Amino acid sequence: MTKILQPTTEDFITDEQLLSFFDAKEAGKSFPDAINASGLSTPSQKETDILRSLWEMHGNLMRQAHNTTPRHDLLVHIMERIEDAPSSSSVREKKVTSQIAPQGTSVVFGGMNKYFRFIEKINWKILVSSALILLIFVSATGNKNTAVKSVPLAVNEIAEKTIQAPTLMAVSSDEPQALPVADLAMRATINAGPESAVMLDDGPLSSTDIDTFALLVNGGADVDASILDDTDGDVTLIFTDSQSISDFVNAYDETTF
Amino acid sequence: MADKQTAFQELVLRAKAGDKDAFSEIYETHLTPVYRYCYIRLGNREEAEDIVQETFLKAYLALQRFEATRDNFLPYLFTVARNLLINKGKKKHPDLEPGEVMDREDGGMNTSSYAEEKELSQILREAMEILTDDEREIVAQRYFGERTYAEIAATFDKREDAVRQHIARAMKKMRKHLIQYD
Repeated sequence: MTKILQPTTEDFITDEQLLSFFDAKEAGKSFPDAINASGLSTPSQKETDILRSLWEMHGNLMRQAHNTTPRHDLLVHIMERIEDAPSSSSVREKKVTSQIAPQGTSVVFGGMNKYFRFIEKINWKILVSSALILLIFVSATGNKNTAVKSVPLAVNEIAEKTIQAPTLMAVSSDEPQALPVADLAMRATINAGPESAVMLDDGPLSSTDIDTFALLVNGGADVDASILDDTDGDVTLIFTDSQSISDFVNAYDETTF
Repeated sequence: MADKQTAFQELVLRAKAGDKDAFSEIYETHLTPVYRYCYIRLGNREEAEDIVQETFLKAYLALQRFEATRDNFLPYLFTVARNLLINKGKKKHPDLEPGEVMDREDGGMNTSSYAEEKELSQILREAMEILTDDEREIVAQRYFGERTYAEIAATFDKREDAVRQHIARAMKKMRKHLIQYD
């Protein structure tokens, strides 16, 4: 008795024949036409059954895919997330002008994208604090003959106050390299001279002390800054970068007047 | 074709300029295949939506820095979605307990149809689980992402005939698995 071997696998159909079979199905052909398109000639009943199950499985996959539909409100959530995206250019501009940048700084930085990026990355609270300190500083220096004379302070304190204002405004520990050095001349005005009644621990600031400032600035320390004006007892230092301020403060602290 | 390309380029330019309607239009055009692909890979609607959201968010941001065309944008979306899926560690659906089925998608079905559909989706997902990673990914992109063999080949950096071979063998494997339900 001869045993007829029936295919138990899909080995009777090559990969390309199977794909042609599916392609024909996707093109809308009937099952018999798809068999013909695959190039199979007169498949046995067993082979036809296998092809039928492949046909149905393919149909089930397509049907499952077709029934998988996204919710309509998904776009709303995505757009909300886009609105909240930190690096969205439109959002960035909006935040810089309306939230992050305090009033006044937008004038300084207005229209300069590199500053937008810088401002965006630093803490807005620091900017607000800086603006307030700067405001206090401007008020104090604008009325120095009364304010400074009536409240004698040690030079260290004065220097600290006056230097901190531009430092806080322009220097961010998050991204010091983004400092717009060339565009922002950071000024620290230090009240000096006997007539300003600024007191050192051991007496008024003398011309020698002013010379010491000059020494610190112009060569006594590795500070890249210059003295703008010391004719009326005020020494205005112009720092060219944040490191210069840091160097100056360190050198100043280490110097005994 | 050229007109569609030009129209898409105009949409991209408008989207780059911050036109949300333009991006919405781009989104509507590309959402369904990306969602279906994510869904069959995850088997969970909420997770698929998360991936889709993340994908389109990244795409929106990426519009600013790459030259999106009608030809490369959908492949880009699939690449992003696939990377997100890989990062999510859901390639093998570890959180899908035995017997748990995919979420209901069609609220309009009657109960028996719904049950049948859930059973079908579960069976299909189980069948896909026996595939290799490449086969599963290619089947998902072919039948759920509606992508051509050539597009899939480009995504996977394979030859087109290799992709076709993967599909054919995957379908044969899945059928073998499925005959136990007959």
